[in-house]
Amino acid sequence: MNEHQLRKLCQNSKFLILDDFENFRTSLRLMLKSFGAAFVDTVANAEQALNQAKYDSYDIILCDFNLGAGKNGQQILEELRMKKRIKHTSLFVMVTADTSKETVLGTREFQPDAYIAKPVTRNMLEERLLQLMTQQAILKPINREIDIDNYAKAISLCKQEIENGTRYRSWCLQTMASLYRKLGDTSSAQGIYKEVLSQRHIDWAQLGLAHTLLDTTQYDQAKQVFSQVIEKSPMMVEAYEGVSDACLHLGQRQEAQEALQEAVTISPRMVKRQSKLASLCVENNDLRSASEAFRKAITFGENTVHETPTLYLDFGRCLSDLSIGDTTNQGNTLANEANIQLETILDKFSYEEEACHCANLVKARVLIGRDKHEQAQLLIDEVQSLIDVEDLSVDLGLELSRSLYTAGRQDEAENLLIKLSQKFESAPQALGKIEALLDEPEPFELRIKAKSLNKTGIQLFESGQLQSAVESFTSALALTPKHAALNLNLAQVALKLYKDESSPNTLNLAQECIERIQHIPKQHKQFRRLQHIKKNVQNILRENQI
Amino acid sequence: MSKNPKATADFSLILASSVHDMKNSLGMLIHSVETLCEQLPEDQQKGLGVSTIRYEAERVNNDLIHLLGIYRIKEKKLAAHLDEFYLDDICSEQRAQYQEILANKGISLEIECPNHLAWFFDRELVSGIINNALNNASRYTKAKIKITAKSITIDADEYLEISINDDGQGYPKSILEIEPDEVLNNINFKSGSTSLGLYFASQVASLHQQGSKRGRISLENGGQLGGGLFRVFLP
Repeated sequence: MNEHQLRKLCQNSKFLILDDFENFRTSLRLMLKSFGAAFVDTVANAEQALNQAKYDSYDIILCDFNLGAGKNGQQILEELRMKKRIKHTSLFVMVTADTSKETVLGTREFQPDAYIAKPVTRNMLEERLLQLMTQQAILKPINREIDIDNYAKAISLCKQEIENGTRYRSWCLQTMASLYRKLGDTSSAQGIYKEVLSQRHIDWAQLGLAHTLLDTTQYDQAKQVFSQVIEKSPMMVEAYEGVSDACLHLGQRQEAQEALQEAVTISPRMVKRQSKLASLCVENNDLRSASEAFRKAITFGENTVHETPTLYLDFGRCLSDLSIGDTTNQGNTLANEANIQLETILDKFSYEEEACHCANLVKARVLIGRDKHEQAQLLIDEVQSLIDVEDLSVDLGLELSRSLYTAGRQDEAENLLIKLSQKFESAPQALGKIEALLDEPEPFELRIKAKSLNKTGIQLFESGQLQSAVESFTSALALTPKHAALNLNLAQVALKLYKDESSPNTLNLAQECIERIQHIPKQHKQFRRLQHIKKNVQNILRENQI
Repeated sequence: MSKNPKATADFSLILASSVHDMKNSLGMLIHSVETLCEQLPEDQQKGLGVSTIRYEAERVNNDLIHLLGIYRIKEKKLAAHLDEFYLDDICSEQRAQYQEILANKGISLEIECPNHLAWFFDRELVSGIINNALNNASRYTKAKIKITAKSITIDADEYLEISINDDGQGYPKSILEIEPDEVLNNINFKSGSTSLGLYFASQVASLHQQGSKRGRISLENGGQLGGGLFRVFLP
């Protein structure tokens, strides 16, 4: 019936079949040949596919979703798109063992053009290819413009298609909206999404709308719309990530973490999302969850674009922090795992000098955690001999200071950090990290305890229970004595008590606090508060002498 | 039922992953059969034996899809992802899938569908419903099957109606009397049919929602060909 038409379409197209089973590849190839395809390549795994796509540009890729132990079809599509080894004019068809989609992606970029369910029969494939290749031919002028980044032209072609009463109206609308977003014309994109949604609940439109709300900093509404998507489509991973992003902007860090955790439960192989989650967990001080996410990011990211020394380093650092202070077998295991990550950096990324220095510095801390102090000191000395202390990056500087602290070389560490804070005084992000370390060089476990005691202290202070507040702050300071804000909190309560009771003990207490953080540089966020409280104390002393 | 909910949950997970595995094996099996068939002499390629293998394989495949689907519904992991599709595309695809099986059984298939008719639905899920209905009809019909797709108005609301008519004896009373939602409570091992496909179809149809309207299926006898009539309505 339409055989002739399909033959014509197939003759001039280059096909790539990707499946891990040889007989599937062979049988698909035979089918395509029988439709008239002259050019059909077959590959068995992701690496071969990515390689082939580098040299040949394919018009149609038929890719099995589940490729055994290797990357899955979704990862391959993502990588092909990121490396620009597949054009918009090409078709990416996902072959699945299932009729329902396991994970769903709303973004046009990372969506396959079609799904075909296994078992693939000849007649079915023939019919489906005819439909898809006809669509491909009609939409080609639009996709060609997208391929050369001529979005404005692509949009006007979409409009024309719609005016001509195209069968691909929905495709055109979705494409137009996403191109408007790329061009920064959020309101036009939003207009399309709202128009579509006024008739139906369509995932891609709802998701798109939520993204435009994020773009325009309407975080509360964005979060709400993303949540609505999840309610209707619980497998829509992208919506969880959207909720997470919105939460981060709203300062709801814990909720942001939980949303991302759900996303990776549904789709664990998305490396970018796993490492994003890991970093978020680290910031949330949840190192156990962080290490879980790092572990997956590394397992699934091996030999992909996402495999970077930073990923290994972050994981190594996280494991090192967990292992220090843990004298059980578990601690040994963590230390070993940390060493594996750090060795990988030295091995695989030996040309990345700074990463290797950092790796060795973290290794030194792991050694200290296992009571191997001498080896650790030697390692730190060695790194120091290889670097120019006057010309350090923030990251390397921080890594070195952290190891110096852990090795008990507190003065060296403090001097280095003060020097760094002067050097980076106009870089607020770097400064923040330097301050944090200067305040709390202690191991992770102690920092967490101190933090919670500090919080209790503040609550007690606010409710007027000054004596209990002093106790809480004092116990916190026993753990992290150099913490600037904590010291000033205690000093402030002490001064208030002094004003109420005039007991010389409380004045002494405040003075001790000030004394302990004399070293903080003027770039420190607490510097002005320190000066202020110091002045208060001096005033009291002066009044008393008179 | 089991007194230990934990054990039940674990068992359904085991079941689901076994089904996945079976589905993969079945896929391999079907491919091997197709390959073997191509090596047969032309006249034997269309033989009844080959056709039976294809038909039964399709049936097992459908059953497995339903099992997995029902598992996902229970886990709240199945959702309808709507987009706009043309009904003639969907129908032609199903015809392609069944044309050989039907031709070998001497059954004719007619499709009545306006070529401009488009609707919003989940392509994979709705194709699954039609596929299953066709599979059923091809088992019980005498010589004809007819698929029609059209938009209709029920209580001032627009619905898409897809019907699969056959000229067989129609559905037995026992099946017509059961509400599709209730199928799981009425499984009859003696009849040889678990009606799993009907249950799945009814669940998938109701995943299609538009405002307060939901999709549904219906079973009747009579229809355009005087046999069984399976219909699915989507808002």
